[in-house]
Amino acid sequence: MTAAAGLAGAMALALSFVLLFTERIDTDLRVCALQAMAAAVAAGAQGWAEHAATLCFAALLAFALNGLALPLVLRRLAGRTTLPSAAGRRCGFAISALAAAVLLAVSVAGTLRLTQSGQSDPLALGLSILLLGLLLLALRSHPLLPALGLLSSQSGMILAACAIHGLPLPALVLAAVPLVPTLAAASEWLHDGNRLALMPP
Amino acid sequence: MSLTLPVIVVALPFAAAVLLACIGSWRAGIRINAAAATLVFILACLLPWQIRTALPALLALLTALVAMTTSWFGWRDVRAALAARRLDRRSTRHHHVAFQTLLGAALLAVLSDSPAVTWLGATIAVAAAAGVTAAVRTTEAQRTASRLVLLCGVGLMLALFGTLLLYQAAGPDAVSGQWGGSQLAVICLVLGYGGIVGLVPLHSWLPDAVAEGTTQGATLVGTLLANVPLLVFLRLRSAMADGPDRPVVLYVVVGLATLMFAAFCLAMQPDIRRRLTLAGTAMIGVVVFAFGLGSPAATFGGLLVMTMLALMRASLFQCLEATPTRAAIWTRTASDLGLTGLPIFALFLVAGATADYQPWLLLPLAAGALLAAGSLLRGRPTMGATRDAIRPTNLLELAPVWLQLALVVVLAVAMPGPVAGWFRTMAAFR
Repeated sequence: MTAAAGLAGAMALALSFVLLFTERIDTDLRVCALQAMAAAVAAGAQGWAEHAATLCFAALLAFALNGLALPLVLRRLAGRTTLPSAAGRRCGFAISALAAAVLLAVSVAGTLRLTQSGQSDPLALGLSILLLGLLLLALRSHPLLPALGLLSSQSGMILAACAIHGLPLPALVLAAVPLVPTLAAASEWLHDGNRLALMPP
Repeated sequence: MSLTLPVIVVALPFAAAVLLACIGSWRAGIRINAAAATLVFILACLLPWQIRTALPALLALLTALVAMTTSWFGWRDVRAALAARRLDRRSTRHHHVAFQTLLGAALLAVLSDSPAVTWLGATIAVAAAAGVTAAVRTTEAQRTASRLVLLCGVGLMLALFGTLLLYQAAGPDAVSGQWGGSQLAVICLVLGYGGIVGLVPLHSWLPDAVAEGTTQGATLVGTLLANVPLLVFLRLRSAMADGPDRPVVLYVVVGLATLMFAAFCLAMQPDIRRRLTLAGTAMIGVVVFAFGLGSPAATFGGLLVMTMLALMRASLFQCLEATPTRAAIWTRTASDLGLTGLPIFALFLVAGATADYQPWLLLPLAAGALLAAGSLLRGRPTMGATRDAIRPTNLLELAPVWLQLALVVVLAVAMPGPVAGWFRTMAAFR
């Protein structure tokens, strides 16, 4: 992994920790967008260094969709008056920090021990961000958090894709396009739209 | 891409979904839905002669059969949901579109050789399953759909990471991934796809989704979604570096944990739909356990139980809303007894292979299977009809259920030689 890609990847990982401890949902959204951009920059830098046009294309796609389009959509959803502005917290600071540290250690150890030889740095970064994104779903509560947590996990996918040489374009596109976070956002949008239109029991 | 039979089988439900999205009338929607599902099944019957590998053909056939028989109940189930104001005209259209999309996505995931396309199919299937559940206009159904998206979304993200690792194992020159990778890939794929089939620990969405959806939706979500992950599990183990006959501890642990958990929940669950789902989850646990044992005999048993479970579960769901006739009561009783006997039958099928691997595993396996069977027997539901309420028998209404039950009986006690050979071929991963 190149130095620029490593730096951007490390920044994405640090933003995963920030996501766990921010209070307001609009701050969460900004941090998540920034994390997606950092992951896309890491992938782009890696693709540029390796002269891999497909990885550069996937990075561009991830930047546009994960870093700009989906956060904007989520911001519009968050602006609705029916949703609370702060995300609830299921655990205290100490337990959250401990769980995050354990997941980080598990990701690094798991990547080193359980994968075949190759570039393990971006893979460990990707797995850490994926698991921390899923941890966000367990530790915090807000109607928009499923989409946010899954979007954060998607940033881990694009970093993991950097570690795999010769990944075909369809797989790279799946790693870059936020299908599952979009599904979660659509689910919340429909739920919110139907909330007032429900029939009486 | 040439227009081969598998492509047509996959494309037809998506085309039907587009057509159904344009049709306003719910009556026409029911007819088109049933016609498309029937056509897909007829074409799927030709797949065993067109596809080299037997397993995808079996699963496609099973998926298309369950979807076809379920669509035939559209008149009864959709009308009942409209009368109960669980569906309105607009949401009926959504329901039909989601039905065909789920069928098409399940077939896409099953018939594709590529791990990436299989994942894409599973994602579309989860979206369609959420659509089928959310079509019901109640607060609980909406919440359940959100929970489905959340837990299956977690599973899909893990599965996507595992899928990327499969490409790492395939090497830089491989255009498509191969179904065998590092241990981390196997862990991610088993936990991820396990969430879609309702395995522990991402299991809690399935009973609620089945309980809150329409009867048709419950049948589809409970039956069709299970096929894709089980195919992935079999493909993974067939490509393992240390040989397909070696036991996989992760499968054994996850399968046994799911069986025990579902059996305990079953003993305490009064709601009929949730009980049916938990019984199915317990049996899926046995199937995964059998796949984990690795021997061809255990895999044969797992495949047989998987096929019988899909047919039995579909029959029971289709009996739920049946008009209370004498024939319906007998059919429901026969289906209940069949499902009750399935854990014992499964135990009989995999006991030998379990004893060969680790004899002490027989203890939790037997305890789980007997607890599940006992809970099903104890809580066997009635049709809820008094003698006066019993109406004249409508044989046509029950014909699809009888067809499925007949298939189960044939598979259990008198499997024809060619079918047995087909199952043996699949168990040997050819």
